[in-house]
Amino acid sequence: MSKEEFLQGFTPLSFLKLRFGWGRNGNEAIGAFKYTSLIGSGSKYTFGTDEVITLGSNPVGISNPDLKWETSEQTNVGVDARFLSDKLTFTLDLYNKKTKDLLVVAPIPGYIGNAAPTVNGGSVSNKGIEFELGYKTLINDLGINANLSGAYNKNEVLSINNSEGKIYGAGLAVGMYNICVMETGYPIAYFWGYKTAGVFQNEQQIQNYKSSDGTVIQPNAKPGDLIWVDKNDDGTIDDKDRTMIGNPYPDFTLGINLGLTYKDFDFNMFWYGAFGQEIFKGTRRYDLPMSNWDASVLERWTGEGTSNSHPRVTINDPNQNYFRVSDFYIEDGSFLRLKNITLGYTLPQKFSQKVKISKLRIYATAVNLLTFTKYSGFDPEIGAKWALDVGIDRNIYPQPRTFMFGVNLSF
Amino acid sequence: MRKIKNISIILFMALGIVACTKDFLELQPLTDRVEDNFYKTEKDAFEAVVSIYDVLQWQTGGGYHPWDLVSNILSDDAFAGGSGPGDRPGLVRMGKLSNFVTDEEPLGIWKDRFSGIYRANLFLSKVDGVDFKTEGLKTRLTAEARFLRGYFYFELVQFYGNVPLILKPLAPSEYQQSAADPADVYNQIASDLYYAYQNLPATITAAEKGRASKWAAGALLARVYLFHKGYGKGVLNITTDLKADDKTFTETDIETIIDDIVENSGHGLVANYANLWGVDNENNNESIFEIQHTQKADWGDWGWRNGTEGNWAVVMTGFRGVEDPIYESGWSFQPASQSLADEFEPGDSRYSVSILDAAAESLVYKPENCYQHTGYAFKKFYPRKADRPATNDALNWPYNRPVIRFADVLLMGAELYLDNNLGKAQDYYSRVRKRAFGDAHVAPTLTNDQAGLDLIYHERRVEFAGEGLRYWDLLRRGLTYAETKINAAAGASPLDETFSSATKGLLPIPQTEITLSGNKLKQNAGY
Repeated sequence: MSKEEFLQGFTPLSFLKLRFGWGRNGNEAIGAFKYTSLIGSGSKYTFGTDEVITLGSNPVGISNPDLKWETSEQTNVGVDARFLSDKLTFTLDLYNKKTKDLLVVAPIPGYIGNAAPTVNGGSVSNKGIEFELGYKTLINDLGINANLSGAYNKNEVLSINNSEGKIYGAGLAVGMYNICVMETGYPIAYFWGYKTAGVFQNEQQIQNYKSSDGTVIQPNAKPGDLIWVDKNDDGTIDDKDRTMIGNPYPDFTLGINLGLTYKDFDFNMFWYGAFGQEIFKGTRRYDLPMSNWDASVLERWTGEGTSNSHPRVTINDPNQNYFRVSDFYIEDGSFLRLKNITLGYTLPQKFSQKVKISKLRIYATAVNLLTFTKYSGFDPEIGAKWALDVGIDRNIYPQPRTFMFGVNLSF
Repeated sequence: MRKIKNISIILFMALGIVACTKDFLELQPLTDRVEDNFYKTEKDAFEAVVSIYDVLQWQTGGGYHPWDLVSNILSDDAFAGGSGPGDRPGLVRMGKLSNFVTDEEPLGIWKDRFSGIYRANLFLSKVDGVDFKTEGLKTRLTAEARFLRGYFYFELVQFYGNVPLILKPLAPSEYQQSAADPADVYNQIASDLYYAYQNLPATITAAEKGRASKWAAGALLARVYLFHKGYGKGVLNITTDLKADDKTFTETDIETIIDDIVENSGHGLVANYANLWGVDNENNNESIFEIQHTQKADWGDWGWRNGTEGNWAVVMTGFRGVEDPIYESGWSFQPASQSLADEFEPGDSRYSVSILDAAAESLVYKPENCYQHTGYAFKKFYPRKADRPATNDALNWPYNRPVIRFADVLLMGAELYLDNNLGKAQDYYSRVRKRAFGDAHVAPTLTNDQAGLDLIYHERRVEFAGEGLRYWDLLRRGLTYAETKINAAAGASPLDETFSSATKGLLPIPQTEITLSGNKLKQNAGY
């Protein structure tokens, strides 16, 4: 667009381009022969006085002959601009991506009797904005190359191919099932659990906690137990009271890259941040009452007024304070991390040439040097195991902080 | 010329496209069998039925929950146990009928059995497509599949009461199921078991030991009849009699089946009670149907514990810290109760065979490491050094588990004949007594009243100690009876495992199953 006549005299703007794109891809990266089921022969039984172990055969999963591949369709509009004789660059993209017939292994009830098939679960939309701002210049001996990129994404499930409009996803191994859920109108893999409203401080509070028809909602609770929100106001706490308690996907991600050169020194740092996502902190073996606790347990409720967020600790836990998928386990996972910082020095050529080396550079690098986050687990970058298992921290092995020193030699 | 060439190329291409059949475009894997092309030969059919038998050995679908162990813990015969209250809290809660709806043991028990039912349904849906060459094989395999389906459904309806009734592989549109009327489930069980009774072979050869016989089906049907009568009608409020398709079962019908087994099966009581147990006495003449276990598979995969051929209940039964030439250590689950120990009369040869009385046998072990420790363990499945698997010992203990014994057939017969043939009832009952106390023993006289029933129930408790039958006997006698007995066996904490009538003695339907059924399944009362 900068070639247009009406922009020719406008000197600060050296380049301007408008882009429009549309594309469609298919995806079938799920393994071969998923429309049918392979027969496994591991189901053995022993027969006879000689105890002969005999082969039994059965399908390893339910087959899905209607399986087809997943399609995603993306539309995007973008602007590329350069200002100040190409020193300042700016890119902006708006996109709308729709994925249809999403391939997913949706859990099925145990009474079906075999492993779940891969199905075309539904369709998902991802809409967002990406921008990038760069500045590159040379002032005397100082070279600057700075880059800021950011992205905002909004994810929403458009439809689900079953009558309920919901696909239940992964949970923890024992007791906390279906933490991530895919439901029409919500972000994919949102956290589905109970909301809490503090901790009961005394018996009076328990008796006063009633639904609108006067039923005491948690009659068996004791002071120190979590207050469960009775979302549908029916007087009991059950799965119908579970609701969206978090979203594992960030609203906004950010990357900052700064490179500097000064005479024979070079410096570079790269920051990465993600903001707005939640993490389900499933790091403790809550199913075993004697397992280790986080230091936060020292702030638990021990008497009236001692805590309104951390319930009491008991062996039996009849109120299931620790056994339920609830916002007690949800934490803000936003973080900003200094992923990489490097400082290097190149020996001036006139010295290195003496030993026939064309370039000698020494450098020091630190990876994951700093992490700023409120998350109390080991590492806020949890990631995803599959489409419906996102942001659940099962004690992810933390990314290490690494220091490296090195030499680059060119002959 | 070029025009003709172009036209011919286009024509050939068109022909080629038309000639592309579905088969050409749809590939089958070259090296594996798939569901679409399996179930064709006799060998396929037999392998499919073996895969149903496999599920009989599954005891660990969600945590550790062997059928007999769980049944013992639920009853007044044993407590949950373990190394502490935090070892298997789901089992501790189960002993008090207060499981969380998200506990893993109720989910594991449920899923394991439905896997067996799925495999049976799948086989039955494919059996007509198999090319059978051997006479009678189709009938036998069909009868075995139905026997096993009836077996699994019986355990499900006993534990949960309200379960979906699924008799074929389901299509995705049918995945969300509601619970069936328990009466319909019982009648389907009766239909499957009665068909099996009429079509399974009367004799099982030595090489086939472990496969179901006509007598196994008949005996199990009698057990189902008695449970339906006591619990189905008494607690679940079923108003109709047990039916198999068009046949309604009367008490006489079941008595006839019992007599058939007693007179014609060739099974009988083993003379010495001690000779019923251990690796040398597997598949003895008293055992009518027995779940097979062996250590030969040397299974080592803790990630798929159900894959073993071994018996998990064995390692779970041992005391902790044992130092003894005969007995091994274990995980100290299902400690037997004082109440059970007290049930045995003096002179009963079954006591020392059934109960490992640590004090009486001067056993050296660490009671401080055994939660809910009582000093008693079930000896029938207690791990012994001589039988210990060389490697992966926890997973591969070889002790078989008899599901139904001739003694049970006799006592069921005695119970049934109590109201219409006291003479026969007395005869059956006395045989079991004499085997326990010696031929000179004169059994107490049975009467057609609660006292007579009490004698039989007492006999069942001491005859089948540790075999998992007690809880179901308690439930079918009535919830009040169950509550009285179970609460009498409880003690001060940590032995405070009392009954909960609100639950009707049932486990909770696993919450995740209710969720995945689209909330069509409903939770059981009391949870």
